[in-house]
Amino acid sequence: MVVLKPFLNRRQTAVLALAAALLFAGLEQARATQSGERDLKAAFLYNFAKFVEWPQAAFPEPTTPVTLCVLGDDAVGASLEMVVKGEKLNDRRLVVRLLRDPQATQGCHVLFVGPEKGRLPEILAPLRGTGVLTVGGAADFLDRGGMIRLFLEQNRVRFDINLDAAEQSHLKLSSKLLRLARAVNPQRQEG
Amino acid sequence: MPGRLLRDVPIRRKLVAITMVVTCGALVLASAALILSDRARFRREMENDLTILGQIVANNSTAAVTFGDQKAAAETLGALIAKPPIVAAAMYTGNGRLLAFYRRAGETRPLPPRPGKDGPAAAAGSLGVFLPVMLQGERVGTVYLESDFSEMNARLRLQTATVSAICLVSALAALVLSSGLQQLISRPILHLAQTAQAVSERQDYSIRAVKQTTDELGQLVDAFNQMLQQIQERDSALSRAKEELEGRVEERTERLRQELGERRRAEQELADRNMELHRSNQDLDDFAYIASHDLKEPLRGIHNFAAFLLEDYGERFDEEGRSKLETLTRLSRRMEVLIDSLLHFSRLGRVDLAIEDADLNEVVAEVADSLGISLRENGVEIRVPRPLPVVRCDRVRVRELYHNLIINAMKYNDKAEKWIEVGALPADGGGPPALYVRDNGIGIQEKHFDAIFRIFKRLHGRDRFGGGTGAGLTIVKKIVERHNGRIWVESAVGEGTAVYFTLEREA
Repeated sequence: MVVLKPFLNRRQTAVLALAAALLFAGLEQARATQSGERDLKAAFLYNFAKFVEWPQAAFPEPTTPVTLCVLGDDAVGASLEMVVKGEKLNDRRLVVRLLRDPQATQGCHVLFVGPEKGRLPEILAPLRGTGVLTVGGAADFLDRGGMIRLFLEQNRVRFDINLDAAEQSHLKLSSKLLRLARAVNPQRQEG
Repeated sequence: MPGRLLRDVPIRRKLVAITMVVTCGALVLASAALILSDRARFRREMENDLTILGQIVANNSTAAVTFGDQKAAAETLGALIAKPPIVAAAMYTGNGRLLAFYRRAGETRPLPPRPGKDGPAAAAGSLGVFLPVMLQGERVGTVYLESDFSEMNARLRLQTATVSAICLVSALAALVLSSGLQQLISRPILHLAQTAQAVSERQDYSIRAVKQTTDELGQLVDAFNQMLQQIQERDSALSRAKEELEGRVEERTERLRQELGERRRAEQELADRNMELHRSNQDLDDFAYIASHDLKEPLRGIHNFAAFLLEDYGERFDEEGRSKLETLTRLSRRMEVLIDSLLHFSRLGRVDLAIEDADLNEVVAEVADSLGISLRENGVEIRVPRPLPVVRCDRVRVRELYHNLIINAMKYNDKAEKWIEVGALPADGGGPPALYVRDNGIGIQEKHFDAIFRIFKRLHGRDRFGGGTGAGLTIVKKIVERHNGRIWVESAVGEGTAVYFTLEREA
């Protein structure tokens, strides 16, 4: 039998319920409204964090929080803040940072790159091998060295994974996550 | 009751039946227990298996549940088609919404719309289990699996068949073994029974059972044989005793018969003698009476004619002739007295006694009175020292008895002072009193004790001691005898005589 941990407290339940409600509202009703899409993306970001294992170096202190950074999409950032508020991941607090400066990614564990057309290589290049999970929506996000690309397909939020990039950054993505991905390593191979 | 059913069955079958009942009973019980425990075990295993499978499914569903990916969830559940007993499966999100489900082909039963409590859940004809989907220590959803009992039932069927086969084989083995082994017990018993029957039928106690074992049955055979031995011994002893007894009885009977014959002959002889004696006695009495009675008549004639002769022709006879005639007269008178005595004596034997209570004091007083003159003349004193008893007797005869005895006592006495004592010895032992008349007379020599009772017997000369016919004591004796009494004499010559007698009329 699986030993159940003392059940979720009321607030957690509420948050989860909200997240799920948002999720399913988006998924099943297939109304990818602006806010719905934003909330879904926030929920996915949070969920991705659950299926990723960071290298030891990413958390110098036992109390180092898991930092979720949002670059150039404050709406998603706000939504994410709502989602992670009070949540913990592996006994670590969750912190949301809204970034303006693509170079200020120091300390980030997850970086969501908003619509930053043209600046993408500039943003991703320095992060290569640094242990930051990069998530973005651009069609060439993975080609540019991003790790997870979120997109809508048939009114469902789906994602592709660039496992090579993740491995370069010493991130371990759960096979369960990989199974859910539409495609793994779909990027055009360099060279 | 199996016991009643088996009661009249031969012991061999009984033994086999008992063995088989016990064996089969034990086998059936053991099998039932085995199957029941297996059933419980199978169910437990099934629960475990289902739980493990559920855990695997839950583990594989973490991401799908987390991301709400229906397609991935359905795919994961779809893999359960490889497990035919799984009837249905479902996956629920953290807030209890049904995310995806699986139903075995042909199944239409509805799934639980919402997750139930974690753990096994009862379902009609099947077993369900709810399991949490955990991620990073947090519950993100629920998985439900439902399995039918086909697998378990198949296992149970196989198990039952196997156990039944084992039971059957064991029972057969037990049957074969017990059929063989029952002879250990049944053979000695049957042998014993046959021996007993043979003994009883042939009445032959020399037959012996053969001891085959040394157990209780062997002891039984020994005891049986010992019993037969004892019976045989007793039988022969009995027949010996019987023969002996028969011989003895025969011998005894023969002797008894002889004795009886002898006794009968003796009795007959005695009776004859008695009769003869009685007859001759009677004849004698009759003769005495007739003789004396008939003799008197011619005697009177002789006497009368002698007297006539003496009176009428006395002058013609000389002295000698006259003397002879006087002698003739005297002798004829004497003969008359004798005949009278004889007549009296014979009458005593013929006349019945008149028995009454007689006071002997009165009787003796009467006798003394009638003899008063003679007594006084002879100077005889009659002494009665103690009162005499009252006796049942013929008073007249007893008076005659005392009369005769007192006269005798008075006559045969030469003493200067004469006395006669009349008395009675105290009766001893309930018998009649012995009466006596005693004197201090001349006494009688012992050799004459019998002669004195003979009729006309006189011990002394005719004219000595006053004469007499010599019939007195004979009459006394006759009277005593008529009273069924006894008479005897004690005497010392010169000192006196005592005549004792009893009058045992009543005895």
